[in-house]
Amino acid sequence: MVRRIAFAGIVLGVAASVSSQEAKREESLFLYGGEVVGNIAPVDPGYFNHTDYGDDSLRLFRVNVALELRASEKFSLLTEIRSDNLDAPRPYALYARIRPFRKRAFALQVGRVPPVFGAFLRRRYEFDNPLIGYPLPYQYPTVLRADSAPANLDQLLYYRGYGARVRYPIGDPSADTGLAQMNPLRWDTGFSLNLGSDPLVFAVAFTQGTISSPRVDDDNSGKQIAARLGFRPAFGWDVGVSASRGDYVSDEVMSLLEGDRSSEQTAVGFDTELARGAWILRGEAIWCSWDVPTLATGPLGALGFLAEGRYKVVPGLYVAGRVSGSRFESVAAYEGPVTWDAPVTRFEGGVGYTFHRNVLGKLSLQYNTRDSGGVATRWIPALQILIWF
Amino acid sequence: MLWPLAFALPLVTAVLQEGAPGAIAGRVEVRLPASPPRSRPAVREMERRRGAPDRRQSVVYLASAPQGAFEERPRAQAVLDQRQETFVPYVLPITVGTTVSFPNSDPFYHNVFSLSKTARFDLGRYPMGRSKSVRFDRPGIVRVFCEIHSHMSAFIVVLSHPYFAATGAGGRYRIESVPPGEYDVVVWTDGEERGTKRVRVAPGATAALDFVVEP
Repeated sequence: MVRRIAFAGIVLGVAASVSSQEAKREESLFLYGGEVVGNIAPVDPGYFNHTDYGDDSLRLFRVNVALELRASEKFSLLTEIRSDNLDAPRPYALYARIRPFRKRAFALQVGRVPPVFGAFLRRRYEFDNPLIGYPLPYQYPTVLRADSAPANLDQLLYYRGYGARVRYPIGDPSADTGLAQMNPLRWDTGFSLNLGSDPLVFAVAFTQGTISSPRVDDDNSGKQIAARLGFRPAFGWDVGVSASRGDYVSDEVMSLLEGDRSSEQTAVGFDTELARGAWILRGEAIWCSWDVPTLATGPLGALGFLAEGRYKVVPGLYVAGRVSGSRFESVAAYEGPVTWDAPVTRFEGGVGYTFHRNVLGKLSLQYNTRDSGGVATRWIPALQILIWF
Repeated sequence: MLWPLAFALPLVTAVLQEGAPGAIAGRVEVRLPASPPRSRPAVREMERRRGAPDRRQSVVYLASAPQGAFEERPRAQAVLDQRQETFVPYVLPITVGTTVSFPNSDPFYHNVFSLSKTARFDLGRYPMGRSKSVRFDRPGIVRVFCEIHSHMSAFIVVLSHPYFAATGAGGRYRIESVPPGEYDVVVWTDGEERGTKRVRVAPGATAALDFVVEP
């Protein structure tokens, strides 16, 4: 703990020093921007678009404001504050960026920092999302939780396909949403280093939570390391590989268990984007495995994937499509091998029209299918109006 | 509000049309507050080093054109470069029928587009060293943006006659080959008409005309 405080002190000390030196020489700058988004869709009884904040991402009113106080070329304070459905605003990004070298692409970021893993989360959520829904690996709740655990495999499989509302006896006994492979709405806290510029970029982050369960406070004394190496083989073609590892289960759960048990989430990812003329094509795959400390099954693996494309038909009008899904490893249940969560796939297509430079309208249609009982398939139309500034 | 006349179909000013053409020259002093480049916070990604558009650059033009202004002219070419995430120049005045090239001089993609009524186009994404072009056949103001870099913007001022000039260093301008006569002259800065003055151009002479642009 003392070491942690000392480290934070050094970092902030350097930041303050850089800031005070630069502020004398350069004029500070205050920047702002944001999005106001309104989504309309029918009720989804299958919870296919449920997020870990308990919202349906297709039935949402969102106000998102980004602020930057650039004290100098070398030091900035940045934040993004968001309110969903008129809830109290929450900062999901809040950090200091230090760029000590004027001519080198190097930055140290400290605070609630942008994720370095994968590609989707670093896009502006709604503006750079050609459709209305999120890709499943970035939104769909699995049956795992960080603050509670099943006592046995049967309890886990009981909720198979119902990650939107999970309740386990070990840890927090209340019902809550399960973890997505990668959390789309919260950013993790710690620091990151970003270096390099085209054609090679590298970022590494040390944070409190994991990609599934980002945190502000530390609930398990474990840290995550995550990194991404990006490469541009040709103009308009980007590829990236990511990896992360960290403890995701809370001490509240671990303190109830005996012995030395692992509670790590490990992930590797691949992303690519190809763009030319009126086309953008993107693909991403994420392999995650979670150690569930109460189960003897070994790590539970899941593969998430997405492929999407956007084509501009005429100025201001585009069409887009995406397929995304999550697949889960099999475990040995009493009745034979079964995947530990229900495989789920989403097909989404739509159009976007720019009414004015800052006003975009989207219309989309989703088809969701899940290999489980209850609501196994669902067609969902949605409409979005997005105003950005 | 005389500036729309310059964008309208041929409107001929009743002027003296005898003698050698003259010129109108002067300086535009812009006293608008220095607005920093409008940029969104780069919260998710670090931004690259950018150029700064010269928002004080102005266009000075005749509100209505003398006879002969609309005679057939060779099709002109102009360039609006994309350099250091900035359109250069920030304001590009052209005549109707001009073809504007949009070269990409940055080592990453740009995507030029406009949703203006005067000209609606989208050139898609193209790399450094490539250029695409658009011909402007209607007079008016065309606001140009980059789809990828939201802080990039520029104006193309499409005029129906050739009697205009963009200000250069120090706000200086010079409109050449103006037939002798009396004209209303308009100054246009950063998206708006900022003032109009009347001037008489004598045969073979240069009429001095300065502007001060204030908030």
